[in-house]
Amino acid sequence: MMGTDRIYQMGQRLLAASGGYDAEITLEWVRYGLARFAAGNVHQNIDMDGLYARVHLADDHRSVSLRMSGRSIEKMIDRVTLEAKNLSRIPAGVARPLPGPDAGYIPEGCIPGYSAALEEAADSWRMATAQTAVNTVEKSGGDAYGRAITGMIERAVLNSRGLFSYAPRTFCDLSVTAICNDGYGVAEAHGTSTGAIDSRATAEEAAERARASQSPASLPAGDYPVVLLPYAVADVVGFIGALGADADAIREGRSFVSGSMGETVLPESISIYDDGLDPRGRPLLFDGEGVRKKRVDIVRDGVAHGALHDQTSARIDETASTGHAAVGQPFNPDRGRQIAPQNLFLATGGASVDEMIRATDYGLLVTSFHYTRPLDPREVWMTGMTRNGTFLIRGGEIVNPVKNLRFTDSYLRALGTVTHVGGIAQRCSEGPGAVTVPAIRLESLRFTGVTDF
Amino acid sequence: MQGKAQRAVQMANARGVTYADCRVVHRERQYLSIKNDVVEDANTGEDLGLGIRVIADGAWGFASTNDLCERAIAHCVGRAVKLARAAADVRNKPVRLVEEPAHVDDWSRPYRIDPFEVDVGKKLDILARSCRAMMAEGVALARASMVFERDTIAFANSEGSKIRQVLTESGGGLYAMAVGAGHTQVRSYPCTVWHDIEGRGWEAIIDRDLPGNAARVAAEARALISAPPCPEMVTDVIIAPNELALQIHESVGHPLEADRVFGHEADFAGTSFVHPDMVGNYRYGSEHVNMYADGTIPGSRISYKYDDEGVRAHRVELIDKGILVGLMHSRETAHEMGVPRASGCMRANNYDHLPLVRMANVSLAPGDISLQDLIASTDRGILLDQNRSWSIDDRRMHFQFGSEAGWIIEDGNIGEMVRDPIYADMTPSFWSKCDAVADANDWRLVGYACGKGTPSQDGRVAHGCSHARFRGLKVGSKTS
Repeated sequence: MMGTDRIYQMGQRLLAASGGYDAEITLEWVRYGLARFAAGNVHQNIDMDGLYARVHLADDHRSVSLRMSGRSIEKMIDRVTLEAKNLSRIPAGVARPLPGPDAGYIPEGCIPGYSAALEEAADSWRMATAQTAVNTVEKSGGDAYGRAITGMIERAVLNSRGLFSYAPRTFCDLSVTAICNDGYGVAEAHGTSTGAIDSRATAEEAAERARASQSPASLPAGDYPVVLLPYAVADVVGFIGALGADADAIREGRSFVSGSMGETVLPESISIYDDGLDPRGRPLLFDGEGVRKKRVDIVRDGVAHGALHDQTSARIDETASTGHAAVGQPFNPDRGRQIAPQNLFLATGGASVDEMIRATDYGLLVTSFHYTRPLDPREVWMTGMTRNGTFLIRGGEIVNPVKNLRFTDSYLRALGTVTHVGGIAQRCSEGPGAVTVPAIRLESLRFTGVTDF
Repeated sequence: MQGKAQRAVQMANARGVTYADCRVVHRERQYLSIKNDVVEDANTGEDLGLGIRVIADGAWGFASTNDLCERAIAHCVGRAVKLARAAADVRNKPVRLVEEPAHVDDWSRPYRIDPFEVDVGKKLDILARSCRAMMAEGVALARASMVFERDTIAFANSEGSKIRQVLTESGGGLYAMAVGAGHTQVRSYPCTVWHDIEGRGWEAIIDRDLPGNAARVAAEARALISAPPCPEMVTDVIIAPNELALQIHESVGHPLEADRVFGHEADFAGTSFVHPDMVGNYRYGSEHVNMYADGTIPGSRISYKYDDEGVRAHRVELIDKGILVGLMHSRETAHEMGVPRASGCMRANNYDHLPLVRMANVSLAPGDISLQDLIASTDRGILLDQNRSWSIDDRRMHFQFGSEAGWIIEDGNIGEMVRDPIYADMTPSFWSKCDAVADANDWRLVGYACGKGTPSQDGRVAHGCSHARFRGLKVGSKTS
């Protein structure tokens, strides 16, 4: 770890090189470890670390950004000085307004999403976890495929208006895909410390699902009631949040809430919100501009309620940033300005999965979706496949596995037919875009194709 | 850079590994974007770092760092060796590699005009003019963008290879979204989202004339709002290269990557319906379907002389007259399958990523009919242009693709434009319906990006193809 003081001092030196322009410095120190396994072998055992810097320079009418890694502080300062000279060559437009010092966030005491003990245990935990997953699935007659991940990211944002946000965070993730003959099953567990993950239970869940999904039967495409387990629900909620809650999309008419703010857009049982500080997901305390995260109720009791803002959209819409400037990925190139939810939740109801199954006379239980893609963001029209265990429900009971199906439907329309919302939320998906959701039951999801496994 | 790569390999050798390779990568990047006449990104980047991969006790270890002092490199090498020895405890067979000669070389991908020497103001002026031309057509969202990258890669391995490569690429494109009647419509140029990046210099941007295409792109997006939805029908479909390239990527490229065949991606992107014993006898498509991988194609963003494990790039036949004849291999998977040589297609996103099997310009060979004759010989059908959505199952069998626009063909003539066209099929069924591929005059490369691996790598890909016709394909719109 670099620590608060060292990272602050480095940031200040870069700020000082900004030639008197408005400046924002983001520094990230990253350590990431991965043990990836397939059919009894760890085939990738990886440890990556590095320091990454982003610099944003602006005057009243223009701005430039710079990302750097692998350079000494002196060379980074030289590069910032050069970039400052280039700023005047940018055509005048609208510069991104920098937040003031009050918008920042430095946690005190216990830091949400951070476990100091993780780094020391990381290497041994990944290997032990991979071994446990492999052995557990093999005992059940299958093969294990998956990944055990640990990471620590120390991130700071400083700007020339005096903002300083800093927080370390840790994460560990386990994903196990079990293959038992022609049966597939998956289970995931996520946490900020290794103690949060029961690797044996996760592997057993995947293995049990794989055993149960062997010898799937064919089922024709059509409109079916569905019980969606949290892995599948995460996709629904994730896309509704990503495509619908961005203030730019709403203003430009691309969102399902464009022109409908304050109106009922979903059933009363549906509340979707983003809360960067909620430790049940993957906390991200401040955004890419250093602004402390605010909870945004995107849909509250079925009513379109709030939009996600960064500094730029907030200025256009004459409101305050909600802390949703996307945080760049250290290992991939910057993709430019984006507004994004990063710790999404679907509020729980009171139903159990068993109750949802019993309420289904003839329908499907879907474990997860695969390769889902938007067809039109306006009504969240999507297509994708089922994966890792799809089962036929008849007369309120699961009767047999079925081959994977393709759906093509509006997530908005389908979620409009919700009849049950589960009482237990589960965190799904790795990375900064965590989604924490319960299982749900929909009266209707339109399946348009089938595959042969 | 070369010295650091060789030094890291020496350090690994001293620790008793059986194999080591190291890449030191310096990347320069520039991304410019104007949205609705406002500069939204003027973004440059510079990365420098080192990644080392070793085999010790029969297992792989990989570590990377962007601190390139001697002590940090030694620490990084030590971590890679330690990880490999730890991984050996969870292996049921040791890693083996096929032979590859040691190469000592220095190669740069050619270009005419260095894109990093072109003034940023000139670039932004082109984008601004393009953006304004789109906005004049009344679209809700008009974006014009450019991206330029240059990688300087120093590679060394414990078998004596010492390779330096400089790879420059340029891309740029237009994106217009119209909103109305409860839906959105998109047109883009020259390729949806990914900027159609080429392994060329600034000349690639000049040749595509963004301002000259902007009004057309936006006008078509607007026209699609009031266009009828694509009718549901079984018909003959002609697919344009900018759509067909992604079809090749998803339904040929990925299923023929040997790491997927061997299950290395089973927990994430998925596996493949292809098994090793299908090579040489499986009918993948019609006799018109000839596919190959080739990292040496000039002008491609995947044009290189050596891959990221030091294997010299070369052409690999994948499908010959419809029959599956090969897969794309790393040195490891080639050994596992008994193939004598790796395919030269192992590539990593940057220094901090592990090389993966990555399709190298997987391309559909041109046929012998002109595009004009291809259309003229189609009694009734539809021409599909530019991808808008894509989805395929985890074994790369059942897919559904959506295009930005379709044009009905009647009696060999292109007619009415329709919106929201989608088509779906199973991979071998689809390629078996291919009855004609346009000739080499119509053949072009399309540069994409592709997410694969954990952590996800935004890898570079490109595919070459001409327009191709598929008989009796089911099409419709999203609501049909």
